[in-house]
Amino acid sequence: MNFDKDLDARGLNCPLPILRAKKALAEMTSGQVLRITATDPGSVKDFAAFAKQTGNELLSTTENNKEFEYFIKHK
Amino acid sequence: MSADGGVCWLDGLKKDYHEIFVEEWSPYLGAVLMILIILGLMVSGMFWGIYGGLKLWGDYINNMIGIGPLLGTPQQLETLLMHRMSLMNMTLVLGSFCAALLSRQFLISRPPKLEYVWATLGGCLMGLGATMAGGCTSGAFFTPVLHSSPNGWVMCIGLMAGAVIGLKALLWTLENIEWGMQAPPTLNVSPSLLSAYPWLGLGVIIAVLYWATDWYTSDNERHAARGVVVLAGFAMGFIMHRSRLCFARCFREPFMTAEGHMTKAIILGLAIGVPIASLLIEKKLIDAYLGIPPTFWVGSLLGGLIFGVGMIFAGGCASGSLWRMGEGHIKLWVAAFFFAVSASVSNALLKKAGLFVSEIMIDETVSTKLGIQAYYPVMLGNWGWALLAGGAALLIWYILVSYNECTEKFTVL
Repeated sequence: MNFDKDLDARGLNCPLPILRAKKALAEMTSGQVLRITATDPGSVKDFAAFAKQTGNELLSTTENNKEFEYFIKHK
Repeated sequence: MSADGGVCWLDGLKKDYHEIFVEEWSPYLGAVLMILIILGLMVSGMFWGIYGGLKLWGDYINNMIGIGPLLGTPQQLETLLMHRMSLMNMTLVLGSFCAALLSRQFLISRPPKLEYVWATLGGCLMGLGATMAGGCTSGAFFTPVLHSSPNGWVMCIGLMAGAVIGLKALLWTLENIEWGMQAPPTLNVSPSLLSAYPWLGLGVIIAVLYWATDWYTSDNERHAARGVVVLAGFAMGFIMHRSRLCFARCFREPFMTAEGHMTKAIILGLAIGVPIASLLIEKKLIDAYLGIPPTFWVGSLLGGLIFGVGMIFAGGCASGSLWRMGEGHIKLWVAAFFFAVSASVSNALLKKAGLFVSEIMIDETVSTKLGIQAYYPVMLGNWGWALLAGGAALLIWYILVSYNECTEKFTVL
C-alpha cells in the first residue's frame, strides 16, 4: 500500500504509539496516508479506538513476524 | 470415529483455543474475574496490594548496593518467597508470562533509548507516590474503595490529575526532544520456537499447579498458608494479560482518546465487589483496616498525584508494569526496578522526616502526619450510608466517563 509518511513506533507501549501518530497526522494533509509499525499487542485495539475517535480512517491492520502494521488515512 | 469427525474435532479445539488463549478478552470479563480473586483473598483474610512486595525488593537491592545501612533498612529481611505481596507479585509476572506464551505474544521488546529515561523517571515517581499514598493503584486505590474507605477516592482524584499532567508533559517532550527516538530492530523469534510457546506455557501451568498444591498440602504452616497466594497471583497475571487490564489506562484514556472501556470495566468490578466485600468485612472474615492505609487525605491526594504522573511516564502502574514484564517489555522491567528502589528509599526518607510517626486514636485506628485510616461505616455511622457513599462515587465516575465518551470534553490531546 502507498503511504505518505512513515512512523516507527516499535518498542513503544501505550500511550506513546497513539501520541506519536496523533503528532504525525497533525503534520499531514487530508487524504494522505500514514504507515505505523508497532510491536505492542495492545496497539491493535488502541489504533482501532483512535481511528474511531478522531475520524481518521484505519485502512488496514496486519501482523507479520511480531510487528503490527497500520495504515491510517487522514480525514 | 470417522476421519472427518476427527478433523472437525481438532478444528473445534483450535478454534476454542484461539478464542480463549489468543483473542483478547473483554476488560469487563477481566475486571469481574479480578474481583473474584480479590474476594477470594479477602475470605482468606488477605487483601491485594503490590507496593509492599516491590518495596521489599527495593530493600534487598539497596542492601546489595550498600546504601541500605545508610537508609536504616533492616539487614534481616523476610525472604522473597515468604513475603506475601512479594510472592504474589512474582507469581503475577509468571501468570502473565504464561498467558503471553499461550497466545504467542511473548516478545523481548526493546524500546528506543529515550524510553529508558521515562521508565527510570516513572518508576521513581511511582515509588515515591505509592509510599505517600500507602500503596499503588491496587493497594491504595482499588483495595480501600473495596474496603469502603474514602482513601481510595481521594487517591483517584490525585491519579486523574497526575494522568493529565503526565500526558501534557509527554506531549511537550514529543515536540521538543529528538534524542533517542529510534527503536532498535525487533528481535526475531524463530518459527520453531514460536510454535513451541504454547507447550512452554502449558509447562508453566503444570509447574505452578504443582508448586501451589505442594505448598497448600505442606506440613510447614508458612508454606501451607501461601499456597493460595501462589495461585491467586498466577491467576491475576493471567487474567490481566488476557484482558490487558490496566489501571494506568483506566485513569489515562478518558483524558486521551476519551475511550472509556477500561475505566468502565474497573467501575463494574468495584460495583460488584464493594457490596460483597462489605459482607465479608461484616462477617469478620477480614479486618477492614488491614487494607486502609493511614493516609486520608494528604498522603492519598499528593501520593496519587505523583503516582499518576509516574504511571503515565512508565506506561503502566504497579500491576500493569508487572504483567507487561511477563509479556517481555524491557521498559517495564526498568520501571519496576526503579519503582522498587525508590519505594525503599522514599520509605526511609519519609520515616526520617517523621511523616510516619503514628498515633493510635481513641477508636484504635492509626493516624500519621499523612492522614488517618478513614472508614465510611465509622465516619457515616452505618453500612447503609457507607454503601450509598461508595455507590454514589462509582455512579458519578461512570456518568462522567460516559459523558466524556460522547463529548470528549475532558481530553487534553
